[in-house]
Parts: sequence; C-alpha cells; structure tokens
Amino acid sequence: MGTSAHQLEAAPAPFRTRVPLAFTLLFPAFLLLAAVLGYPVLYSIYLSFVNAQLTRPNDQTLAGLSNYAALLDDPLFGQALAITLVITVGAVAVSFVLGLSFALLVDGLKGRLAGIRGLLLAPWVTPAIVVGFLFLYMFDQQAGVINLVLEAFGATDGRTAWLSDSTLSVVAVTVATIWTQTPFYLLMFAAALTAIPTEQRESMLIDGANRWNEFVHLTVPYLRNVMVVATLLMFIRNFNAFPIIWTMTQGGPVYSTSTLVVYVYRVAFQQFDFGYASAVGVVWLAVLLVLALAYVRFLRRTSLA
Amino acid sequence: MAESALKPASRVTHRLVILGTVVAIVIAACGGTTATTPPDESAPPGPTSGPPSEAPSGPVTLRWMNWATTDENIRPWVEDVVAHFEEQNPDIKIESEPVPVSEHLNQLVTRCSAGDCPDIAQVQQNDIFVLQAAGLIAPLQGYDDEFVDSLPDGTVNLASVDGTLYGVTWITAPIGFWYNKELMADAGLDPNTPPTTIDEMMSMIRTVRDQNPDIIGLGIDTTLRDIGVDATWPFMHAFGAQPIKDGKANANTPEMQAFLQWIRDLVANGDTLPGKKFGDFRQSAAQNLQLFFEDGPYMKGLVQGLDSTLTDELFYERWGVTAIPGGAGNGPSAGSSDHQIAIFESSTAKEAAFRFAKYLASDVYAIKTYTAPYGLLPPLAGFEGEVPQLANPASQAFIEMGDVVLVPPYGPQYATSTLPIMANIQRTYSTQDAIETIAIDMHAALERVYGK
Repeated sequence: MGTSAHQLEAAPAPFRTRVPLAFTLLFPAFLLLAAVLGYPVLYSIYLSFVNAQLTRPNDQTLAGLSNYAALLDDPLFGQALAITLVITVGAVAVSFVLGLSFALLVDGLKGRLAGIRGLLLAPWVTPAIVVGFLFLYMFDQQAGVINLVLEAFGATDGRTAWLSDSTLSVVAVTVATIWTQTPFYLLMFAAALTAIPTEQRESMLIDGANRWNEFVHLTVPYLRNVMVVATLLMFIRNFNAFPIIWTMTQGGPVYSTSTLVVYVYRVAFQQFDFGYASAVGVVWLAVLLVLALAYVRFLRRTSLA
Repeated sequence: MAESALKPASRVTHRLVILGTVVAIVIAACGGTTATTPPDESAPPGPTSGPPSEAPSGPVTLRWMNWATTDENIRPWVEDVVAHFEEQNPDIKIESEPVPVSEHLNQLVTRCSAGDCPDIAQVQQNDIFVLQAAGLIAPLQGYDDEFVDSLPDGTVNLASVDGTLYGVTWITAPIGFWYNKELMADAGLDPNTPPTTIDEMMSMIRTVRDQNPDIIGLGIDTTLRDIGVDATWPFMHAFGAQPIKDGKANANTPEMQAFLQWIRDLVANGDTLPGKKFGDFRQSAAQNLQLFFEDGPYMKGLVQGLDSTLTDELFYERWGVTAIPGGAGNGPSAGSSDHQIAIFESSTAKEAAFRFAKYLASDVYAIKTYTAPYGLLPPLAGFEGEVPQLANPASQAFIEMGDVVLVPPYGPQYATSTLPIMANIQRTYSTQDAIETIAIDMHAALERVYGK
C-alpha cells in the first residue's frame, strides 16, 4: 500500500495536533449546549424524583419512583400518549402524501408558473398560533366557513360543532396541522426531485416504461432518503406541537385533544406539580430520544452508503 | 494502514469530548441550583407580620405585573391612572409589566420560583389562595386598617385566607345575567321581567327561539378553564349541585345529574354554543342575536367596542342585567370575577405598594379614569356623586348582586379540581356517555384531588 508524494502533501495534520485542537474548538460549543440543554434536562430528571409542588414550597421531599408509579395509574397520561400518536401519525401520513403529490405536480412548472411553488409554502411560514386561530374560526359552529360551505353544498343538514365533538375535534386539529406542514414535505421532495437525472428518466420512457413505472422504479428510490428523514423530523415536531391545539381546543372537549405536551403544560403550569410533570416529560423525552436515535442512525447509514 | 491507526485515536477524542461535556453539564447543573430555589422556602407560608419595618430611602420603583395594560384600548386609561399616582407620589415609580390574563398565574408562580417576583400584581379568583399557599404574598393587615375595615365583607372574604387579608380588591365584578329586552319584547315577553328560575328562563328561550331559531338562547361558559367553573357555579347552584362541599368531592348526586342533563339538553336543542368562553358570546350580543348570557359589568364597554353605534342610551334600552336564575330550592345568585392587588413577600417596598393598591381601589381619579369607563365597579360604595358614570342601571344592579355572589371553595386544590369538573361538563355534549356515569367519574376525579 504505497503512498505517493501528492497524497502525503494532502494528508491531514498529525493526530496529536488535531485532538487538542478539535477539543479546544468544540469545548465552548459543548459548554453552551450543556448550559442550555443539558442543565434543564438533568434538572427535569431530578425533579421527576421529587415532590415538587410549587404551591407547597416547604414540602418538597424526595419522592423516589412515586411520580413514575403514579403515571401507571393515571388514565389521562395513557390517553394523552394515545392521542399524541393518533394526531401525529394522521398528520404525518396525510402531509406526506399531499406533499409528495404537490411536489410531483409542481415539478414540471416553468417560467411564471414556477412562482406557485412559493405560494404553496405560505402555510409553512405562517406562525402556528396564527394557524390555530385561523382554523378555530374556520371550524366555528356558527360563523365558520367550513360549515357554511358544507351547508351550501347540502352536505350537512345543520351546523356541525366541530370543536365540541370528541372525534371531530381530533379531525379538526389534525387538518390544521396537515395544512401547516404539507409545504415542508413539498419543499423537501421538490428539492430531491431536481436531483433525478433527466437522462435516466428519458431512457426509462424510451424503454417503454409508463409514468407509474417511472415513479416506482426511479422517483421513489431517489426520494427514499428524503422521505425517511422528513418523516422522522415531522414525527418529532408533531410530538411537541402545542400552539395549534391549545389555540383551537385547549385539549378539549373533555380530554379528546389533550396530547402529551398539553397534558404536561396543564400539570406544570396550571396545577404547578412540577415533579409529576417532569416524570411525564422524562417518559416523553425517552420516546423522542428513540426517534432521534433512529434518525441519527439512518443519517449515518446513508452517509456511509 | 493510516485509516486503521486513526480508529483508536478517534475513540480517545470522542471520549475526551464526552468527558468535557459531562463535566460542563455537572458544573452548569450545580451552578444553577440557587436560581430555581423558591425565595421563601425557609419561611413558612402564612401571615408573618403587619406593616414592614423597611423604609427604603429615596424613590422606589414598584414592578407591577398586570393584564390591565395588555388591551391596547384600555392601556391609555391605566397609564393615565398610573401617571396621576406618580404625580401625587413623587417618591414612587410604577413599572408596569403586562402579561396576558390567561398566563398571569403561571408566570407569577414560575417567575417567583426563579427569584424574580414583582412587587405587586393584579390577581383574580383562586390566585390569592394559590399564591398564599406558596408563601409568595404578604398579609395586608397593619398598613391602613381603617381603609381595610371600610371594605365590604364580600370583597374582603374573596381576598382572605383563614381570616387574613392578602389582597386589596381593585374592582368588583360580579358575573351576572344579561337579558336582551328588545328580543324579549319582539317575542311578546315582558322585557322588564327577566327570568328568576331556570324553568322560567328555558320557557322564555323556547318562546324566542321558536320564532327566530337564529337567536342564541343562553351564553354559558363551558371551557376547560378555572374561570369556567367560577362562571358555571351559579348555574350548578340553581340545581342544588355543589361538586365540592366541605372540602370533599360531592359530584355524584341527583342534583349534579340534573344539572348535567340540563347542559346536555341545552346543547342538543341548540340553545347555546358549546365549548365557548362567556366572553365569546359578546359578539352575538353585539349583533343583537343573543337572548341571555352570563357576563360581568365590563360587558358593556366591550360590546360597545364591537358596535360603535351602540350608545349608552341604546345599550340600556336593549340590555338589562340581574342575578343568574335560581332553582326550586336555591334563589338567584351571581358569580365573581373581582380583581385584586396582591403584594409580594419579597418586595422591599410593601408600604409603597399598599399605597398604590389603595389608590387604585379608592381614588376618585382612578375610578373616574379607568374603573367606571370600563364598566367596572369600585369595591367601595358612595362614588356615584363624584363619578356620574357609575349612576346607571347596570352598575346599580351589580351592586345589588353583591349580596348573592357565590364563592367556590377556593384553595390550592381548587386549581386541580377545575379541570375534571369542566371536562365532565363537556362530556355531556361531546359524548353519548350516560349522565350517571359522568357524575360518578367527576366525583371519582375530585376524590383524587380532595381525598375520600
């Protein structure tokens, strides 16, 4: 395994030089991360083992695992976890399909029509709190445009109480979430589509492949990595989504749209039970860590490939 | 060969970086502990002393957390009131810290836990009980006992814990029953005879809505909020229902089932809009589409804000207000949405803070500039001569209502109990669950808060 003079010149600095340098350069960043991320996480883990009721400051004792044991007996926690999964899976799946469809539709747009791409991104840049209010009014039983349209087409015989029905409220919140995050998929897929070589596409069509075959055997393989990465990111984002749900339903009616983040907010900032809220938060963090690990592993595997 | 030689070395780098991170985290964790320790942890909550011995030399600045200045229409009035106080008291400067009303309590508790308490704050409902339990606010005896003794018992009770006063009532705001005289007259009802019982009210709603189904019969708060329970309490009272009684759960009763069934029917018949705050009905009130609804005295100013053609004269021609209808065994009653001023234990200028609180509550300029124009009432009677805006039918009706204001069982546990109460009220119209089951579940949830 010979080494040419050129390779020697281009070789990186000796390892002994690089280790302290890398460490020195990275240390401030790690210090900053430790302060802004590490400390809150560690403190939350600590609080999860404490009776930390802010309204009883003199009664803060170590609780052992009792906060975690209480989770097992708490029907609202299980329900919140289930609702989080339902809304997340629903929103991610539909946004994925819509985002992909729109990306394929706008892929061939040229000239002035290409501006439509920018227009389609508008929901993504709209603040979530604004989206929440927008859909709150759209789904309003009395004055909401959705009921007015449905009535105009004779689809309903009365005005539906979207946000006061246990099932329909979940649908309404999911629709608002889909609206705001579909452009993210569109953006990701549209970018990935530009990477498909035109020659390959043309040669497939010359060989007699139809559009469906082209999509399955050429487009999908090119988009596969983006699909996985975007989906994982959106999964994590939806798990933490708060403003839209809080603005539209405050987690109601009953607890039908109380996701984990809404539940934690209520326990921590309305009931001031930071110990229990931290226990919920730690479990929630564990779920997100699993997803984050999957994301990192996938990224590493694709970069190695 | 070079590549394989790097592997163990990379591992070393990796471990060094991890070690550095862990050390940094530990350092950061240790260093931050004091910042999050509640400031009063060493002192037991509850009455400590009367007037403070502290007397800061020179001008003092009071940090005043409030939501009065979050509304841009109202802010100039409050700023005017503050400016007048500062003119009269050149040794005191007020630094207003606006927070949304929905966020004020959690901001107060969390900020104080981080050692960043304001000197004074605008509070309401259960806040005083939560803040007192947390040991964050100061008792107010001893600053000006003559003034405190002059306050009506009702407002003092709302701001006292175990007989000790912790808040100066700034404004009195019972939640009453507004009735639309025009719509009643149009339907052939006597506009000057509002309903006094739930049965009468339902009969009038039927009469009006049979003629005009677009009218919303009753505006009642069914949101998942603390104030939702406060506002709904008089309606539960009409049925004899009392979900918390003598510090225990009391929701599995025939009276509560009757109330829950009434809510279910109300929504099913389209007589109200579910899931709304009581303030949400002001829009339909401004459009003259609302027959009855619960709201405070501030409703007048807010509805006039939505409809600029609604002069005072037209407003009182259209709207009357009285106590919320009662039931067979219980007479009419009212809720409360009083606002108080609380002074924090950590303040080093409590005397100055008390002076400001007293000024807001009882100074003619403050009442004339903010309280009365907003449609609110001062805690003390007798200002009608100096403040003509208070001499109106609605204010007089609200003053009379003071005797029937119901106070829910406030306390630290109340904050935890409101969610299961309102969630189960929502369950009546958002599910098909049996009413009996809902009452049982509400009771069980309250037992988890108050014990069996």
